[in-house]
Amino acid sequence: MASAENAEHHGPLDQFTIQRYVEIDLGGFDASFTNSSLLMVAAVIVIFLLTTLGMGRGRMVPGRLQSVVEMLYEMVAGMLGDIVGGRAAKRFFPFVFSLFTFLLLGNLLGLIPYSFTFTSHIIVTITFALVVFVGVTILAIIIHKHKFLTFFLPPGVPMWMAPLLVPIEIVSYIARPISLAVRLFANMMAGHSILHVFGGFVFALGFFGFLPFAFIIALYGLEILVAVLQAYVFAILTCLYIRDAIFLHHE
Amino acid sequence: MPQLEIPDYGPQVFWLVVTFIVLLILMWSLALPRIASVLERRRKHIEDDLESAAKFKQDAEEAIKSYEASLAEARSKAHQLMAETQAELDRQAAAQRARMDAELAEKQAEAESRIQEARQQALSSVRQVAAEAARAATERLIGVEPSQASANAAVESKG
Repeated sequence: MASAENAEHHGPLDQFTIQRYVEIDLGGFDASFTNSSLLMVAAVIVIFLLTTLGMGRGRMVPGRLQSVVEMLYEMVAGMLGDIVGGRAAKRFFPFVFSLFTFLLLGNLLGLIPYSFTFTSHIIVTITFALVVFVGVTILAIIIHKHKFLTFFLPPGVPMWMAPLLVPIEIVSYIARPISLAVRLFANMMAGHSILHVFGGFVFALGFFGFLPFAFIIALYGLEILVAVLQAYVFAILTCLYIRDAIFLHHE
Repeated sequence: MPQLEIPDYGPQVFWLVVTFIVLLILMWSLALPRIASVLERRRKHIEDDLESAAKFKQDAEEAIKSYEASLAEARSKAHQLMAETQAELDRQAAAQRARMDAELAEKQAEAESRIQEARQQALSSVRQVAAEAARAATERLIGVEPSQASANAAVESKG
């Protein structure tokens, strides 16, 4: 679009521009270290420090930081236990925990002024969504073999409904990763764009700039909520898809 | 729109995969087992505490029960002792009363017999005095002193 019109970034979408800090070329593949990579590394470091140093010596009565870590742990464990349950919940726990904390930190670190939100890029969210989608599909095929196809035509449905039902089910199944990816990316991008637009109003309105400024404060609170909520939604839908793969949504 | 810059996709996907795999391995091998062990230890600790608390409570209840039993026993013993003592005292008191009653009756009988005697004596001496007086009066009146026997007879007949 209108990116890179001038050196000074002023458009509401320019904040999403990828900036290459270190050019890295892996045999023709561009693996440059960018602002997006920096925030991903930062998220991993923050999560790692929080879950290791934050736990301290693992005291019986947890302190503040330890409580936060334990709360995160038990939230994800509860989510998986409620939706998937049993031994499968334990097996997928590290993945779902990593996914949730990674997206959560990506969303939250992106709210720090002048930083970057890697979850506001469709390629990042679609990669995650496809990993979940492909992984869940392979899991379902491994568990149920050819019976996996009954996912698209639940037993008990009259045969004449099949031509109608099967395409609908297939479309809804394929729509899963797309909706998963677009939901997160669109929420992040929209929130940051609105913040940017109203930030511009603050200076444009001069004295009356305090009105959009107050709005920005309220919106920022909302964005923190959205950041947590979208990470949660992504994780909980992943749990639901794992459950569908194991139980084929009719048990 | 920077999100649609295809040339930027390579670095993002590459670093996403690298960082997420690193995160997954770190969580899997280091962080999560530790958190799990801390939580498990706490759960066990709480469970043990609850268990020992239940045990202590049971012990306390047993102690209360045995205490109450011994209390009841002591109370019944005390009652028994009290009743025995009461009976013993009653018996002693009754015996003493009987003894004193007998003594008093004896003393009373003795006193009565003494009174009877004194009265007899007094009565006989009154007769004698009356007879003497009669004799003296008769002598003074008629100058004849009646015999002792006739005076006595006269006193008797009037008495």
